[in-house]
Amino acid sequence: MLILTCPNCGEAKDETELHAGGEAHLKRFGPGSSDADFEAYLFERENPKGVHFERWHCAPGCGKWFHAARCTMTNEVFGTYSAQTTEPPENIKDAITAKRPGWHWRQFS
Amino acid sequence: MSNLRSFEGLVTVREMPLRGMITLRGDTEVMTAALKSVGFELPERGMCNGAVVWMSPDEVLVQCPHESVGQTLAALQSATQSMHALALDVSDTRTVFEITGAATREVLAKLAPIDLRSAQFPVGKVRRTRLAQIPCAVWLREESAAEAIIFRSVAEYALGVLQSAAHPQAAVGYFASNKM
Repeated sequence: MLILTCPNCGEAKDETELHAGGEAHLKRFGPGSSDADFEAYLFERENPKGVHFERWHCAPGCGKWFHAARCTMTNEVFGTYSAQTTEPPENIKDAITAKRPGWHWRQFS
Repeated sequence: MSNLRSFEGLVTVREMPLRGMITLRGDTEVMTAALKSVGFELPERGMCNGAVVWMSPDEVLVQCPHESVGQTLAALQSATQSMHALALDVSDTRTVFEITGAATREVLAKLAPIDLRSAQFPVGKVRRTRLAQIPCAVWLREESAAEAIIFRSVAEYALGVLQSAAHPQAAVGYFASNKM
């Protein structure tokens, strides 16, 4: 059972109390963008075995979105952080580096 | 009100009479000021201070007698008139179940995926969670009495799952044997 702590309400919630929102840190390409960018935005997703960044919704709880960093292989949670950011904060990156030296995910490492 | 539902088993489950409930949303400062205007205080994060139930970083539920909900709502709305805020009467959307008895924690633990040990869930702590498959906000009013707010449209379901969890022959005794 995956247990994530929502940074907004501070509660530890198991995954049945949350709603998965897919990959985190996607940059939207909308009208006026190139076909390649738009296609990548719509369809191209990471599918890593290891470090992954995801969006989660505290659905029957405080109703806010947040980000989580976890390992898809072991379900180890490295941390959760605000959704109001375009990249993982340093403390989360450091926590991952401590456990998975040399990790990288998209442009982050 | 004679049609209030109730059930007795490991705990007593009782639907409470109509209660005035007002959703108030806004920033902390806005909510603090608005609540002050009607004589209430903003509870700490995740807590219920009697009348006011913390719901999320920008939402609280104000409880008042059903007769005075219009008055309280008007006061909250005039206090937040020039601010980015929302005050809305949700009394008829929701209903409140009261769960009383020594097995209160145990019955709740069967239905909600939350840590009900007293260190994690002390009296006054509010948890928005699910009761089996429906959303609910629950807190302990005292050690052996909880109140759960649920949507009125699923009240029958809530009573049903509470009845099965509180079936007289369905005792687990976890909290009785583990003093935590």
